[in-house]
Amino acid sequence: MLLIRCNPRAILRWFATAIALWIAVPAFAQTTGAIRITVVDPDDLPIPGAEVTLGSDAGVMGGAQVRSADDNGQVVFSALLPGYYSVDATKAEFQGVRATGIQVNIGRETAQTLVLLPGSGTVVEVIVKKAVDVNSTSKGEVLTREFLQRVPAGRSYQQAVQTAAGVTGGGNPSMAGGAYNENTYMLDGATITDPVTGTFSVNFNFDAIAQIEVLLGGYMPEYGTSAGGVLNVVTESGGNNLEFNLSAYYENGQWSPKIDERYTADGFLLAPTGFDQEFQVIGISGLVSGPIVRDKAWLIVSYLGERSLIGFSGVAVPRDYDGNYVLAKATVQPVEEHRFTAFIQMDPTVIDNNTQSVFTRPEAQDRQAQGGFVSQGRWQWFLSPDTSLDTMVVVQKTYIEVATVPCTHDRDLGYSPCAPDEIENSQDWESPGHVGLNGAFDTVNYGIYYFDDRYRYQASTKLSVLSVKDPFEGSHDFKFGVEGVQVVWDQLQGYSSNSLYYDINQTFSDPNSLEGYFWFEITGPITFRTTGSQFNAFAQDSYKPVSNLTINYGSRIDNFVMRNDLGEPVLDGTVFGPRIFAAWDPFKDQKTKVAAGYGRFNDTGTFDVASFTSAASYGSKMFLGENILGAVDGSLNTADYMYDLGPRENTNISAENLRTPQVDELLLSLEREVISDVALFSNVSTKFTRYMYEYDTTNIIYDSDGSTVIGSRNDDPNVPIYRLRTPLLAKRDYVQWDLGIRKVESRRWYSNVTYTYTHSSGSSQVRTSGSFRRDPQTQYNYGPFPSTDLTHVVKATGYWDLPTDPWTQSIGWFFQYASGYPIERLYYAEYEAGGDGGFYNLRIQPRGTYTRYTPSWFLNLQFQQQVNVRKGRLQFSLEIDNITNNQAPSYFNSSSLYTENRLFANGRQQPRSFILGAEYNF
Amino acid sequence: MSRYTLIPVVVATLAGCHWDEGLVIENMVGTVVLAPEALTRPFVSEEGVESTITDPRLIGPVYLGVYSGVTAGIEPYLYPYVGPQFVEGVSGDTYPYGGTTVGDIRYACVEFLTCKLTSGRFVDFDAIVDWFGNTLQDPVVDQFGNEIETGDFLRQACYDLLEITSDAEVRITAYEDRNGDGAVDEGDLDFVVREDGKWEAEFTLWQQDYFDNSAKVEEDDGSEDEIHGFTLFGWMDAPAVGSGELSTCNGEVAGFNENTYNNYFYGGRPYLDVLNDPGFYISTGDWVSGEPYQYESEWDTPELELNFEVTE
Repeated sequence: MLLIRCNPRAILRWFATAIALWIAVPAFAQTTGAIRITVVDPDDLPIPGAEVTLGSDAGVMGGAQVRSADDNGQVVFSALLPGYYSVDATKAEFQGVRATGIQVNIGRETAQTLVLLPGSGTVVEVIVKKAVDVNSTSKGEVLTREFLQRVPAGRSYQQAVQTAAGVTGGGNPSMAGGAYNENTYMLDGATITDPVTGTFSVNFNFDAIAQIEVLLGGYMPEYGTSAGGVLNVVTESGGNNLEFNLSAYYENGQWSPKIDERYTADGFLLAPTGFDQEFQVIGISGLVSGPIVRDKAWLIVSYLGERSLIGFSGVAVPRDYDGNYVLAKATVQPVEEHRFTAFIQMDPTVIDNNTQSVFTRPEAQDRQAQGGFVSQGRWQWFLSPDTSLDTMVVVQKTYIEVATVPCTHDRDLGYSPCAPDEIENSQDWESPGHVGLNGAFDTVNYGIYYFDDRYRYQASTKLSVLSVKDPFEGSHDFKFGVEGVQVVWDQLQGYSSNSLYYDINQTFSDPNSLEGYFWFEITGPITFRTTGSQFNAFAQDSYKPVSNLTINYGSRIDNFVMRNDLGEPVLDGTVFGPRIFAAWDPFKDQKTKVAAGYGRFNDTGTFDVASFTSAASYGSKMFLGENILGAVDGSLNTADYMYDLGPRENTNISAENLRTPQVDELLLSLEREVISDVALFSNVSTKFTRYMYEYDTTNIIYDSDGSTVIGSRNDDPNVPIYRLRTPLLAKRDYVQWDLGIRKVESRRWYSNVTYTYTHSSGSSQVRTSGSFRRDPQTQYNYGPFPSTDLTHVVKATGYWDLPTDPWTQSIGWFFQYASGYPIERLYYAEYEAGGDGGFYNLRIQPRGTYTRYTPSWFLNLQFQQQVNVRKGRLQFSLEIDNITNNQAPSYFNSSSLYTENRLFANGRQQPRSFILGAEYNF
Repeated sequence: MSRYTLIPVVVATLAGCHWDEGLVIENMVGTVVLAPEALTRPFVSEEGVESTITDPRLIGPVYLGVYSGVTAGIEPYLYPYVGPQFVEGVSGDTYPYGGTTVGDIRYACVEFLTCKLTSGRFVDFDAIVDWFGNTLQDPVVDQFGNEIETGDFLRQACYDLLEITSDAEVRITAYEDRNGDGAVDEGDLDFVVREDGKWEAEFTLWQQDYFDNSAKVEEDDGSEDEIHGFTLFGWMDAPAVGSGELSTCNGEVAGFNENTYNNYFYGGRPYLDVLNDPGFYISTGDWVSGEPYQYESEWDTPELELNFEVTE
């Protein structure tokens, strides 16, 4: 007789595990941290069985945890929300120790040794964060809430990460040598990277951020795969204390001294005046957090309304940004084994006058509405103190809608004026847009509309099995995960009245010489849908063969397919991303780290690459205008005067053997605590990116330098046929060396100063950059990148809480010096098939070797004053940004350089500005 | 072989390997050769003295195309295969696999020089002024019809018009020490004279897709007198006698649009279908490859001699 005894609970557990593993999916970023406590006696011998209790002033989700130390005297508390914790360690015949101020950062394990002395009673010990994290092998930083509040580095996560070494650029930063669209963005463990552009897709309340993890290399497979860095944002979860925060801030960049126009000796305008530049930002934020049930259920709700009016010099109307960010999150842990999190975030935003061009009239401005939501459900199942299953389902939608700006009867605003009989906020969907040439203005209407919806559905699960002992006395922290993602991109776009007109000034900038030049009739709106999917898995281990050596190794496998609008799989593959990094504490004193390793990262593509061969495309007819034929009565709008007929079909093709772009990374890191709480460090990282997505032209034959066409391999030499490829030539090499000194927060102050040397060069800075569009130009493709090759950068951040109790005052600072980006000059090309918006697109030297921007530097200072009031605390802050602003150009008018050899600065560093803030907490 | 030898050999071998795109694409190099006769012409000086001059300034742009093959009978010279003939008496187009030039038609900043200059033929701007003024007896003039007497004037015209500051940016004259002899001179032009008296220039077919289709072409049309397969064919567009104009140049509404003061004209550029319809542009005085080169692999480094003078 076959006798089987079943444990229903065990069956349920394994069944749930299997289901979760099957449905799982994308990156599994950390949203929690861990504490590893080692209890020893004065002789450094472990004390097995010591009772260790975890607590926190804000409460511990699930209640205070009590564990007994193992044979090594160790206890690990995992899945802890970021924040500060306390630990009580007791053992009979020993004095108890109460350690407070133990900081937990996302993705990090805080190791702390507690020494119990013989005797009785309790000793209180305040723990200071260690200057060297001897266990971490990743390259990057965790920006804590204290850092974000005290260091004046802006009020968005995109700005805050600029404080990290190796991060450059603006709202979509370049991280660790990657392009602006090659990072992974994560919000509370869910990927929020835009599936079309590869950029960030969500804005939210800065005050609701608990921590930001900035990973620039050496990160483990659970964080996903990308050619750039990882920006992992974890929001607040609340606590046992009811807290209310109301804050407001106002930023003004108009009070600082203005610049006059700058002219060359021959009277050429080099830079416009700064007097008409507008720069104002106002934000109001509210946040409520607290317990629904103490230790069992926490809730946080936050809102930020932000409006900014920022105009470029010489532009008639400022860019009017109106964003509303709402975030709600509930964390429930009814029993010790299960924690549930529900999260939703929305960011509806309207941007008026988005086209900041001096050649655009108000009525030809555009409105961009954008936003969407991220909703997340999460279940963390703690099967044992060391084993957990983390399952998450996420649905995200983002939208971008672009059309002409609505009109207004309020003439003082200077926005698009309504006709007398027109209803306020009317939008003109009928008039064709008029594009100005040769100094003429864009007039009549914006003329283009664009509706874009992007969806991401993802499910993932991660199994963590920690503190597994092997037969050789080593310890393992295993993690396994699977994830599935489905992404969808829907788009509708077109032209008002299916037409677009071009006007030209016969004499440059002389409106009296304005004439109609030509116009296009364009086929009706385009609609298309593209889809993609991924199924990924990873396995990794954090292996400690001995106490002073950590080896993090693992791999992920990414299976992906990205389709065009015909449903054809354009990008697909299955790629491995093995990684191994090790950290060694040679003196076992927790003060020195030698870390090194290798990792493979893959670029699994975005929709903008997959759509390269999408079929949807405009057809157009071009008609000659009065300027050419002299008729102004519309009689030319007939087929007799049709000049050109553009194809409706997209002629792009894709090479059959595409592969997946890859990044190979090598890291070497040395850190040493030289005096208490102060460490020196040297980090060198190299990244070699190969086989990037690029395209060439299959049919056009150019002369020896690529300046004109001399033939075609098939059909029309005016119509290029582009072919998507992944050639070895499409590559990028990056070296970054950081030298710095770090003072962790202790004795009321923190500081970090880093010098970074970078060299970033190659032939393709971004996907499908067009570097190989003209065959003879490949000889000049390789060179330093004009967008990331910043040779020398110094960044210094810090804050100091002045010893003025009970009123706390704080001073924070952020200084940055950066040598200039490379500038390249492009030269006149006689002809390019398909046109390219002007024909100054010829290189005659390697890219980026013409000259460089001048160096720039700035200093931001912030002063905060906290005042204790009844039932709460008031905080006032004054921040002055760009105090030492040297007005260095941030970008220039490339047309002026190419055609006139003038470095005409279109934009400069942001103006000196002040930010006034007030915040009330109880 | 010791391990110390083997390791670098293995590393070097692996370093030379990369992902196979399924595309054979290489930068294919070679040389073009011209007999002295191709750059030799009789001239009559201002004083009426006849002389014969051999000068690289008589070399116009050289057009090179790689075709599926060449055949006889279409033109007086071997000619690339053409497509179907839809109209009697009118040849179909030919479609090369690729091509390039040696020397490019270059806009030289005054209308007078439209479609008359090829890059890599003139040592400096004085050589341009001298060539037209003293050799061709047709001096370069500015927009007012005034004779330009110095190279500096012409150089400055280019610098002003193109908003540039060096000869390297104009790219008409010799501007870099290609041969490394320490001087920028005749030796740094595209064509340099060899010991046998012929003139040669290097060329590169950048990122050329290579196809070995000789078997297919043999199967389709097996005449033994023809060259089948990936075949290099080329010719030199010789400047017209007297004017120096180039027949492959479209100076009507193509090229740099000069539109300043009382200047309004186009700087000219090659017609877009020069390699698709070479017979239309090849004219008397041009030199064509009499023995086109058939590639056997993408690593071939052919020497293509343009040794057939078109006389009718």
